[in-house]
Amino acid sequence: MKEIWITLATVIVAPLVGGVITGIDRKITARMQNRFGPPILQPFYDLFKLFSKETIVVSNTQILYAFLFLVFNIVAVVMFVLKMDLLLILFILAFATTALILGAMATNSPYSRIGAHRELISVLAYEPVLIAMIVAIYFVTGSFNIENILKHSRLLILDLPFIFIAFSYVLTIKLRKSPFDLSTSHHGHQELVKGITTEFAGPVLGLIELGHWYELVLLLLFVWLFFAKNIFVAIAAILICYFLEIVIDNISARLTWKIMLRLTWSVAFGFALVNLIWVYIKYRLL
Amino acid sequence: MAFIYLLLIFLPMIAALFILLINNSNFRKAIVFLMSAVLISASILAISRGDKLLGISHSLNFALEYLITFADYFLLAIIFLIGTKLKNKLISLLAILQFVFMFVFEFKVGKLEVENIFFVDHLSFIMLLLINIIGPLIAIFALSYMEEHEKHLHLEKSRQNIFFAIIMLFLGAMNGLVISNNILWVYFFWEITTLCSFLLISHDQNEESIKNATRALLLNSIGGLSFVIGIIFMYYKSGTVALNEIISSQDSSILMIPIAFLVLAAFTKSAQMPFQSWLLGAMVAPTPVSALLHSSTMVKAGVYLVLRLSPVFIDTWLSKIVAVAGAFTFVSAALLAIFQSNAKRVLAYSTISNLGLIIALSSIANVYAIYAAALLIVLHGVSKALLFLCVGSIEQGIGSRNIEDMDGIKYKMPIVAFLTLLGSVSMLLPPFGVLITKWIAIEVSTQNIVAMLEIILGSAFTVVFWTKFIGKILSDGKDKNKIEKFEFVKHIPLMAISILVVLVSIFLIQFTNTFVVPFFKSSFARYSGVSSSNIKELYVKDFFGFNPVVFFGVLVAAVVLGALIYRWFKPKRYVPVYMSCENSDNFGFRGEKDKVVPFEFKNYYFETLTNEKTVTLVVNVLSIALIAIMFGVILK
Repeated sequence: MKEIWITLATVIVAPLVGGVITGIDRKITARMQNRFGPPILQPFYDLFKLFSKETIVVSNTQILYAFLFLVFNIVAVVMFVLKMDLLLILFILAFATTALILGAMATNSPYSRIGAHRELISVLAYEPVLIAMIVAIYFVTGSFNIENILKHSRLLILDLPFIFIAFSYVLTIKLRKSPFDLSTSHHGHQELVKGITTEFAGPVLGLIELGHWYELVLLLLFVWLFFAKNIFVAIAAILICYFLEIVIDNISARLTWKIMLRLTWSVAFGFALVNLIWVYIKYRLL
Repeated sequence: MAFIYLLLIFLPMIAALFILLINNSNFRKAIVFLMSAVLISASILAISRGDKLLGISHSLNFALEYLITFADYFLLAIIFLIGTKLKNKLISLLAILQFVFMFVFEFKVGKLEVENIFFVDHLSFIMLLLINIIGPLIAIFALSYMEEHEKHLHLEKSRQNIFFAIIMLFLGAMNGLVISNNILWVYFFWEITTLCSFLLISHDQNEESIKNATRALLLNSIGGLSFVIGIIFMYYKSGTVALNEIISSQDSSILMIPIAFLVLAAFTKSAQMPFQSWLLGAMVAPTPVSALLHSSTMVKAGVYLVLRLSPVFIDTWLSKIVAVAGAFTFVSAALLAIFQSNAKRVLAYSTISNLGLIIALSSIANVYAIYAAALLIVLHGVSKALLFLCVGSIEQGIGSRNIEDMDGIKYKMPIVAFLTLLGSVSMLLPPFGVLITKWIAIEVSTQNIVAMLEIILGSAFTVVFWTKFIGKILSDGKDKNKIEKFEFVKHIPLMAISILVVLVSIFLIQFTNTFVVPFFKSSFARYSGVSSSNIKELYVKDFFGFNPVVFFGVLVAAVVLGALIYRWFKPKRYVPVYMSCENSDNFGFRGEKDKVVPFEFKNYYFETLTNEKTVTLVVNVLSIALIAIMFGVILK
């Protein structure tokens, strides 16, 4: 019974949090660009507007994929809050992305298909780092289960500093922010024309927006996991981490997918690997 | 009682003889349907009898021993002759070596008495189910496929009798392989599958198919030789050739040398790196052959052998290296699959990749790893059978097996497209079981960090190539004319296999408890804690909290909910794709002077980054190094 209440609360609260953060993001971004920026609640106005629009599609199946993207993201967040298996959560998150990619590939639009493939390359870039992160957490805590991970007596960050750096690195890709906003772009005039979401409009696009908010909350929960012992440190870490993402977003231009792949596989995965090996030696062999 | 097992082996072989001699299409059909019914019921009957260690009457045993010994030499002679005919000295040499080794061995040690000639446990049950259900379904599908195939080839005289005869022989040999207790018999059936695969791959008798069949024969002959050496060492180290005695052997450290040779043989048969090329070459054969080789026969013989022997070498240094080697195949084949645009090659690399995972799982010392290995054999078998048959149908329909030509296949061939989708989704997404085995693989491989890193990377690559594949099947195409007509003989086996794909995943827990757990309990008795633990303790309720039934329930609920939401979102208007308002239609834009410029978009195959050839070279070198390390470890 308790689980049902937690689930309901998560389903309701998560998008509110995600929306507000997105609003703050837009405000800060605007200030960095010397603009006044929209009100913080603007993302919600946008969402309501999207849902009030007429449903226009190129292909019927798009609706299904947008829906699946949302559902998988919700399931992933709920599973996290219910303290279930991290690895499974990661897989579910990957399927949310897969649904989005398939949705973009369902039409014959060149823009959305390029976006889809770039998203696929992003998966190739960040997925190994994310799994390595979870395995490293396993080495330290002896469990894949969040319930048991939280029982660990120390802050995870103390054992996994390099893993955290690698995670922050791929967070940029996952949040689709510059320099890694390869699969989509925030501005219509860029060469990608919104990339992966080009062919989505109205309420269907609304579903995807909503999915993004859940996704955002989940990613920030991952940050929280590193600092879970102390709630204030955790909140501070999340804020700093996200602020840095915004700064990086605003000061960098987009890189090509080859550079992204090379960087994530050498730098980020390298960092993760080094940390992984030392916790393996420390907690498994010694 | 032994009668059923003899039936499973020899009846298909006798049927093969009849099919070969009577080249009549109706007769052939009748025999194939009859044999399908017989094989399915016989295998179920055999399973209902439970675990068996079974001997037959002394005189019959004696006769069979002689028959098989004689047939074995005869088989090697045939392979030798094929080698000379193909002017491939290496094949002939390997056949001679096997012949001489075997002959000297049997001459020196005299008659090797194995009292219980059949060793039928729950692993055999799993294999029997796979062979005798999927195999006949593929054979039935082949009835319609081969008619069409021969129409394309414009043959004067049908060669279908040869084709179906070999398939029947193949099924009989596979049955023999998984129920024989005498490892010499296992070797005999092993060699039959080598010969059968050679004949099937070269079936079309053109230059390319003969070339690829030759390569398959060569690589598998290396495996055959390795097998013989393994048997000889096994006898001198343990004093027995009976499988049941070998796997219950208490002292595993002295058996490392024979095990390493047998594992090498399994590597060749299961097309592990660096032996993968024969399986890719096998793609030139008619599609049912690929389906058979990849799902229920041939390549599964290799992983069966590793899983069968795993109680002996689990938890040793050898097993750690084998796990690394298997996981290496998992990651490198998944990487190679990303570069492929040929659907059959994507599937082939995916098979190789999954077999690598099975081998890695089989050699990781963990209960769940063994469960996952056994489950993956089945899950992969059903899904791959479906996928190959579907791709074969698509190829006959649109005249191409290139993924890039499959735009709009969902309009052209809706049934097959849907089933292809089901097959590929079952290899990637929840709630299907393959994902669970991958998940278990990561969770249990944490004790072998190298294998674990390989599995992590491989898992990411897998997502990429399957998503590309699925995306293409679902994508829009210009040509929306339906070309598919429902054909009973062709579509019913497809549907039957897809139902199996779904059923196996839904009842994964029940399947594990009925077949996999008893296998683990009986075979791994030596393994610490298993012998004393109650079978109830070994049962699984779910896999780390993942219950497929619950998941399928959620899925059904989501579909219902989705349908309701769809009513709400029901599209009011359809629009063309966004082309900066310069569309002519969805497939072209208005260029200069309003001239329509068609565009097309192809998947990324990362050609600018690297290519298949370079990667293959690198992974071949690395995997040869791994095999060298494997043999280095065992030699003290």
